[in-house]
Amino acid sequence: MAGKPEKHYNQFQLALKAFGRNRLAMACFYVLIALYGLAIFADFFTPYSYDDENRIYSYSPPTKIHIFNEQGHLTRPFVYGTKVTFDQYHRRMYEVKKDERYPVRFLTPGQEYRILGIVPSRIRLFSVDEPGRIYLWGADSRGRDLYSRLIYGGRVSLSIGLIGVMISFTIGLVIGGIAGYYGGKIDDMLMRICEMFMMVPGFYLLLALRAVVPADFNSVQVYIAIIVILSFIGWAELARIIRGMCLSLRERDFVLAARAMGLSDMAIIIKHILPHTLSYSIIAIMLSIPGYILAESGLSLIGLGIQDPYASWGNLLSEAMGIIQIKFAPWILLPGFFIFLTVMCFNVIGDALRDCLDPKFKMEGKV
Amino acid sequence: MLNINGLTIKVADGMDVKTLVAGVDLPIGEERIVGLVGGSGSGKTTTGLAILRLLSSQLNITSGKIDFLGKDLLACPEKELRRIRGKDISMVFQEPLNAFNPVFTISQQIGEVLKYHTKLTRRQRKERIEELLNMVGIKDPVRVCRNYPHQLSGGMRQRAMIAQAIAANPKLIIADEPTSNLDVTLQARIIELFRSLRADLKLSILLITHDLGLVAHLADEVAVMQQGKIVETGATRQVLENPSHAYTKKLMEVVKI
Amino acid sequence: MTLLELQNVRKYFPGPKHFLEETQYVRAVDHVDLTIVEGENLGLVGESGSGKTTLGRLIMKLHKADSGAIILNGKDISKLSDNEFRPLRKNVQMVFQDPYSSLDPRFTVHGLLAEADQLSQEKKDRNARLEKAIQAVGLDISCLKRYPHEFSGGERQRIAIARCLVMNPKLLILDEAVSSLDVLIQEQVLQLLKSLQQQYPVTYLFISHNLRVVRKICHKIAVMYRGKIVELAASDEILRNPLHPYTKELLTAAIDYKSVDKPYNEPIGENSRLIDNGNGHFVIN
Repeated sequence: MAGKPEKHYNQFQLALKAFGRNRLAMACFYVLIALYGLAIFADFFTPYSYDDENRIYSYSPPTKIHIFNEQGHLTRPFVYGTKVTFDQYHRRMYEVKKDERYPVRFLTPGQEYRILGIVPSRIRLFSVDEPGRIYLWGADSRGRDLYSRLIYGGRVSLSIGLIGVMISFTIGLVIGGIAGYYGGKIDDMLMRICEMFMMVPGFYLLLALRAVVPADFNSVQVYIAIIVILSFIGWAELARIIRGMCLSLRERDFVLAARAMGLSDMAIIIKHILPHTLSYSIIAIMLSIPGYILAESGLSLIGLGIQDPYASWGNLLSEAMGIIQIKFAPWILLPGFFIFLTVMCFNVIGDALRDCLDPKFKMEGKV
Repeated sequence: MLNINGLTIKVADGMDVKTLVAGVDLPIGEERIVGLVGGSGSGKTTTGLAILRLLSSQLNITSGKIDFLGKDLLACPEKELRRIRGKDISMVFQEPLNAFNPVFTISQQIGEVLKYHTKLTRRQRKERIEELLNMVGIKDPVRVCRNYPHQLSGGMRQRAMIAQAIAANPKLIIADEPTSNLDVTLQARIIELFRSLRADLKLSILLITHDLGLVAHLADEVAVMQQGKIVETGATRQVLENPSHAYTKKLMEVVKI
Repeated sequence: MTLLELQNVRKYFPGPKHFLEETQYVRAVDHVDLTIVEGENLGLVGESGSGKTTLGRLIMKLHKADSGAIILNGKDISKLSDNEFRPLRKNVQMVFQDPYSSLDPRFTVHGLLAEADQLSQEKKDRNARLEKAIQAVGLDISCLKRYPHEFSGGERQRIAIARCLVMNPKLLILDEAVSSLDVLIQEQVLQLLKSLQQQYPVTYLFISHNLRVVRKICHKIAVMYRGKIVELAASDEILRNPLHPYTKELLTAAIDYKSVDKPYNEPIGENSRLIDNGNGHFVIN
């Protein structure tokens, strides 16, 4: 034992270390960090704001970035200007104008914005001078850069998932904990309330609650309203399960010992019982965030969620609801890929956490 | 009848390798009750489980031979071993609540052993189950048959488990701490049950326990284990009257009045 | 000095309720009188179902007694509300049977002991008190940083004992505290309990089903059967001269590992009382 560093881990920390060894899960974790990072610092990473229109370039295909000039030498990345003409069917044709070259500038001042809403700045990662446009992933119907709108849209979609789940989780923990620990009439009453919430089909409740929101709410208020509505629906299932866990946990000897010592009920619930529900709760959170993201996307898709000009992955996808758009501007489906990627990552992480927090890790030295 | 020779079992513990059982030799004769005594961590349960190769996959049997009527149990294929498990050699565990499946009735569980190892018809199995329950001293076998494990008292459950163990007429029962969870009065009865079963069914018992008193009153021979090794062995009377190893002496002191 | 006095304590548990039938009650504790004198360890012996665990929990007020008086240090605690009793809880503590579930696995040993300490003391000198307690039970100070799952069963029981000692109880109830440990470890823990009484002014109520274990640290033994105390005497006296047939049965099983031909199964009359047979040896009539 000499020379071994004195480090003692509780089961939770042991489980996290096991998670760290799961490469797929860690990869997904980094992807999510990247996505959230992009979303938080969207202004820096995007050349354009989400409402920067240029209707001439409607549905412009992705701009090619060239690193070899005409002579075949490596040069600073640049893009060509585009000329828009109409063919005989009044469809847009995009032609590259080789005589106009716009170098891609990095870390240049662009449109002004505020970092985290507080610090004003103008630095953007990359951009091109006007009138050149750099559409990394193409443009939408109004000539807005899809790449930029995607990143800005991530702000809404990713945050709604997280915040909504946090609210549900808190409500569910509190109600489940109280119902499970006290039992009896309190338990009965709280569980019946839970069941009332669970009875209503989710999406219909969503629509109904959305209909109650006044029409003259601005987008920020709609955003908050959607989060509130989503959390309203989601807490009941978690509360039920937490309540079940608390019911069994309160019979454990260490809870009895805590009562024997004279700890108050609230202290016992918070310090001894709820922490043991943490492993389940974390997994439940991970696996239900995708549901929130999809619910918001669904609402925005049918026009009841975030409205234009604000971007969310759901309302970006609403543009892709026609076969013509999909055929001629397939990049319009990219938001779907991002939703897919995010949901997948959360699911993989949730699964990996579930394996790590498995009771087999709780084998407490019983040799 | 059963002969353990040089059994060594190791387990990987992070970087090191721990030896749980180190070169254990243990013979079990016919119609003999052999007590394997030791504290927790001595390796006695591991040795017992190794006979039927019921160890968890993390444990490695690195060397040794377990000879059972001419066959080496450690080397024979899984299919053959399964025919031996439950039929020629069966086990009684410490906690029947864990060893029984909570969603099956007692008769279903004992019936499973009979279905797998014998060719009795359904009616014959039913009769045999009642016969077995009577043998282990359960007074109303019909009711117990229909009960689930959690509906029985601790003593009844342990008897039901013993009934399951003797169902297919085994030659050897491995009993791992069979009475540790029971009250003293129940323990005394189970001891007598084991004695009468040994006489009536002519079977041997490997009694794994930490209680030297239990061994003193039940076993013909005793082997004392400490940290994976057998430190003393012999006929019970002789070992208890004249313990030579310090560990045995300590165990004796604890049990004396 | 009398530490604890139970007068006519009763606790019945209702059985399953059947429609149109009178509910049957399980008489867990059936009009029990008991006295514990300071400095005299009392052993409470009986099989499972005798009510001994319930009795222990009634004293700890983990269950509410149906009737009767529980007088601790001169005060009848059975009538007190939870809030009124809370500050008095430190006077009587319990060590539970299962060492694997009585310590919250998420807390370090330090955290577990500190939790007990902060209920009865100010923060000043806390670390010193905790170190004293953990050393008193024979464990090293470094154990304070570790988690319960790193310890064996016997060591965990020591930690549980240390947790109780931190509150300086006058009465420590050990509810089958050594029953799940193997004999050598049992012996170590019993020796520890004995030696602790030199350092701390604590009296034990030792609940167990095994007379052999109980007599090692108890001065007096009470035998419990179906909710009633059927015999009460000094340990040596009971072991040498058991009077009640049930006591004899327990003794034969614990010492000789033998069972009797007819297990004792008589119901006990409503009005049975303990009668003194001379020199403090009480038997129920």
